[in-house]
Parts: sequence; C-alpha cells; structure tokens
Amino acid sequence: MTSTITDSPKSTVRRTTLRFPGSPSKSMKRQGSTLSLASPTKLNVVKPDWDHEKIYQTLKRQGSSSASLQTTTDRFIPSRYTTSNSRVSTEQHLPPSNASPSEHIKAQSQIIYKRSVADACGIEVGQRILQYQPPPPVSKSLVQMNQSSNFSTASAGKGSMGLTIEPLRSRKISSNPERVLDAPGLVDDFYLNLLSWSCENQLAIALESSCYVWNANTGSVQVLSDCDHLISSVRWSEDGSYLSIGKEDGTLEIWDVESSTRLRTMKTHTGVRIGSQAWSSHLVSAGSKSGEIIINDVRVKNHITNTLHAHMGEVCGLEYRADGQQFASGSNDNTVCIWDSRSSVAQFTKTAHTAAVKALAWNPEINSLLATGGGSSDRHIHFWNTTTGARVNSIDTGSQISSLFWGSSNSFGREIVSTGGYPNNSISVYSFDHRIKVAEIENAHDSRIISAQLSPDGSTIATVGGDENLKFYKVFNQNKKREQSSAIAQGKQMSKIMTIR
Amino acid sequence: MPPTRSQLSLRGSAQLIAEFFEYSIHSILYQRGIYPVEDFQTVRKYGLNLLVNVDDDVKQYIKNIIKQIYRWISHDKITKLVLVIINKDDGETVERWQFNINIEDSAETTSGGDTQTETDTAAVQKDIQAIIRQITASVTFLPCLNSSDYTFNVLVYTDSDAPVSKDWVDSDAREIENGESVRFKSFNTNCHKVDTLVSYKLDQN
Repeated sequence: MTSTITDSPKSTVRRTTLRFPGSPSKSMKRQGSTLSLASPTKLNVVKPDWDHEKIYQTLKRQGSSSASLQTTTDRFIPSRYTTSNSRVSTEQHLPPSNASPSEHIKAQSQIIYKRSVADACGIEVGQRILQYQPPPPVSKSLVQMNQSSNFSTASAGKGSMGLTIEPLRSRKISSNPERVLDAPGLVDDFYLNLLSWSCENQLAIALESSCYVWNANTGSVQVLSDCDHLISSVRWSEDGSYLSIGKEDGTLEIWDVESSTRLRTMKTHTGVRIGSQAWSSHLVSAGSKSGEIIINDVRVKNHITNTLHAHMGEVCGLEYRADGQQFASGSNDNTVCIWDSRSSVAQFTKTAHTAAVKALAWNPEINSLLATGGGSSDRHIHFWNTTTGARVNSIDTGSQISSLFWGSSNSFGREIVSTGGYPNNSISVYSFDHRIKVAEIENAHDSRIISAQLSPDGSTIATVGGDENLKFYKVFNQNKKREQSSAIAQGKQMSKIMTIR
Repeated sequence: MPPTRSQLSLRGSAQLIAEFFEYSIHSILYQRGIYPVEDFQTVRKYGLNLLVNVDDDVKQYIKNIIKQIYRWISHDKITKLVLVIINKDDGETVERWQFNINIEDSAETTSGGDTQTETDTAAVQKDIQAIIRQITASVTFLPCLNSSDYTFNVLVYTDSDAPVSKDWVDSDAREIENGESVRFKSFNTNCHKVDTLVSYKLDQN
C-alpha cells in the first residue's frame, strides 16, 4: 500500500520532464554528456573542416586531405566509406606555383570545402550512377503463370493433379492438316450437326440429301441413301454399328451401315427438321427446330417415349453423359438445360450464354463436369458442375464456338479444344486448370468451322467448314489409346446385347 | 623467358574483366532463377561448367551491356558494376550484386624485379573460378526468390566525364535498406582489382 503511494508521484515527475524536452533539466544534461556521440551538436560535420586552423594543419601535412575526411564519420551512415570508394574529380584549378600563399590557401580551402559538402550530402564528386534503361527481355519459352492465386491453389494439390510448379512450355501442335477431303454441297448452317465419328473409326458426313461414310482405317467411302429431303443431322450409335439420320421433314432414319440398309423410319409429329441427336444405348434423343426434344426408343413400335418441352428455340446441341444418367441440351434460345435422363423436367436451365449453344462436351473423367460454348455474340465457354448446377469456370474465346472436345496433355493436364468462326476460323486449345490458350491453329479453314468431331482415339479433330472442306488436325497426343481401345471393346460387347428387332 | 607474355596489358585486362562480368551475370541470373532453367546451357569456362542463357534476346541484352562496360573499363571510367534484382510488383530491390573495379597502379610501379607477384592469366583464372564458385554457393544463404516475380537491372558507377550512350540513364544507387552483405573473394589482374560483394534483404521472419 505505502510503496504504491510513494511511487506514483515520482513517475508523474518523470513524465513531466519527458513531456518538455526543451526545458533544460540537470538530469538531461548529464545524460547528454555521457552520450556525446548522439548529441545533435556533433552532427555538424562541416564545421571542423571549415575551421581555419584545421585547414592550415592539413596544408602543413601536405595535402592528403582524405585522412582528415575519413574522420568525419556520420552517425547515421557509418559505412559510407566502405561501400563507395571516395573518388574526387581530378580537375583542380590550382593557381600557378608562383602565386601568393594566400591564393594557395584559398584554392585549397575551396577544394576541401567542396569535398566536405559533397560528403555531407552523400554525393560523390565526379561520379555518376547509370542504369541500363531497356528492360530485360522476358523469357520466350515461359508461359507466364501470373494468375498467382489460381496457380498456387493448383500447385497445392500438386500430387493429385499431376501439375508441376515448373514453368510450362506452350504446346506445339502442327498447323497443317493431316488430311483434307472435299465436302461439296455441305449445308452451311450453324444449327445443324452434319458430322459424326463413330467408335469404329467411321466418319459420317451429310452432304445435302445424301450421307457419306468414310472409313478412317481403310479410307474407303460408302454412300448411304438418296433421301428426298435434306439431311439436318447424323449421329452414330454408341457402339458404332447404327447411324441415325435426322431430316428436314422431321423424320428419323436408322441405318445399318455394314449392310447399307435402312432399318427403321421414325416419324415425329412436329414435322420440322431435326438439328441434333444423341444416343444412349437404345434411346435416340432428337432435338427439333420447334424446341422439343423427342426421346425415341428404337426397339418398340411406339417409338416416342417422351417429349421434353423446355426450349423456345431450335435445339442445336444434344449430348449424353458417358453413363447416360444425365444429358445436356443447348438451344437457339440461348439456354442450356441439364436433364436427368429419367425425368421430363429439366434439372437446371442455364441462361449464362447470350447466343445459341451448340457446343456441349462432357468431361470423360469427371462425370459432373460439362463444358458449353456459345455462338457468335457470346463466344464464351462455360464450365458447369451438373450435380450442383454451379458454374465452375469461364473462358472468353473471342469467336463463335461450334464444337468443344476434352483432351489432355502432359504439361497442362485437362484441356479443351474449341473450333470457331470469325475472325480467325481457328482451332484453339485451352487449359482447363489455367484458363489460358495453350495452342492454336489459325485459319484452319477459309470460312467458319461449322462442325467438328474428335477421333475415337482422342488425338485428331475433324473439322468441316463453310469452305466445303473436311480437314483433319492432330491436336492431342495419343496417350490415352489403351483406354480408348478398351472402351471400343466394351462397345462391341454392348452391341451384342443391343440389337434392334 | 619473355616476361611480357604472361603480363596482362590494360586492354587484355579489360577484356578479361568484361568477360568475367558477362559470365557472372549469366550465373547470377541462373542461380537466382530470374529466367527458367530451360533457357540455360552449360558452357565450359574457367575450368568450370557455367550456365549461360541461350535465349537470343537475353544473350544480346547482356552482350550490349558488356560491350559498353568494356569500353568504360578500358578507358578507366568505371568504378562499380551493380546487378540489382528487383521485385516486379513494387520495384523494390531485394538483392544487389556489386563488383568494385579498382585501378592497380601499384603493381605497375613496383614491378621492377622478377620475383614480383606476377599475375598471369592462369592465376587470374583460378581467382575467377573461386569467385564464381562462391556465387554458386551463395544460393545456400540467400533468401528464396519466387522466380516469376523478379527481374534484374544493371547499374554502373562511372566518372562524370564518361561517354554515355542513350541506353544509359542516371539512376539512384538502389541500395537495400537494412540489408545484409557478404563479401566474396577478389581477383587481381595487373591493372585492375575486382571486388565482389552481395547485399540482400533479410527475410522478414
């Protein structure tokens, strides 16, 4: 109790002295004398040199004033002499040797004064610091990973994603087509799907009212049918043995390609063209111009099992997920619908696109990852989680997207290839994880690319453009060949089970 | 035996120092990861395997700097060469590699006897080798740099009357505040003495 009482006035006294440092108190003076170096009066570096007596002394010692200068150290920058070697300009305007002593003294003191002022200011007399102005070049081989936040999260999951922190090189893909085929009479209509590549390596292309099947293994061409109406879409069944042809009058034909025979003709009640189709085992979904999606069972007489009304515009994209549980549809009304195959109500309707959605691609590895690409006024690829309906990512491609396909490379992991129209008619490969363009084939066609298909081995993309050419470009490496061949084997097994009566 | 053969002329000395700077800059750029590893190729020099950037732009950039520096050395207009490593975002200097160039006129004046320390090329090479080894080894104590965030710049301290091409502009010293510095070995030609030191910013933690 008592101690606290005695302490408190002392502390207040101390505080008052500290509050007014300007007032000269004895204790302060004493402290100042002990810390002589820290005293501010000693900071005047120039003064001792400026003293006349000092100048006389230095002159008596025959120049070599650097010694006296060395002593004038600065409390704040004690190491100035260690970092810079004190060069002084050699141009000294000394008076002639026969001049009067006062002139000599004047000249010498001038020099010394100049030096000490320069030193006090931290300037070296007669020295310039120069900087090489052009900026150092940026390494060309390096793809700058400057979206650091995105990349750091990716690199955190390094082990699982197979990504490395090392700078990634841009992918090199050949800009020359491996093969060019003529496609005369191809209908230049963005909303039609006139190309399909089967898992048996057969490519079907519809040219006006006839369908050609080009065997990629042998190079032979087979002509299917001569219809009375224009063909608006073609699609191989999953096992590659049947081809469905959608026509302008709304009928759907199923063909056996091996025997070149028409197995079945299915009429839809709409009577308008079928622009898109998708198979899921024995079901063919057909998207019509009026916006309906008609699901046909090819095995039964009353083939229409369901009609889905969700779109207001022509359905131009239709794609089943690999396991058939979900499918996605894109339409000219700028919406994407994600459906549960069992339900007749759309799970999600996405309105993020601002143009017709034709390009749809399900990721082969991640079941719930869907990529959709918009038309000429949208130009975006959106990635969706189809379980939650959330948008995962977006890429602005800068051109109309007519098709999208997934692939992969060693350096970038998951990639997506998109085919486009104006301005470059290019085939572009984007990295999914980094959302950057990693490769591009500019001017792949002379006109916009209407439709494209990826080969069953996942390496080559077949594109057909408004210039009536069918071109084959190798965009991915065939590192997944084994998986694909096993998938083909599976497909063959399925074909045994799946037969049309 | 002719003593003039092993003695380095002023011109030869400048050449040697310029070359040393070139390889040092390449080594530092490699060691500090300013450019990706893929851009570098091994070159045999000074009895060491040195890494040299093979990117044409970078090579030419350094060559241009060295060319100018050679001119300054041979006319004795330069006192320091500084390679600063700068953070791209805020322009802060994080490392400062300084090479001091001192004129060794004492060797010239006192080289009367044969027993004088004759710094022939082999000995100089040995010294340079030691310095480059030290530069390489310095990675162990220098703070880690995240490669893509940094770039470099070259400063020189010249005399005020040195001829300057338009590529060079006045600059401040770009000193590092509260930096730590480490002095390396030095080497001596008959005409010049080169000191090397690196100062670097201490890690905050």
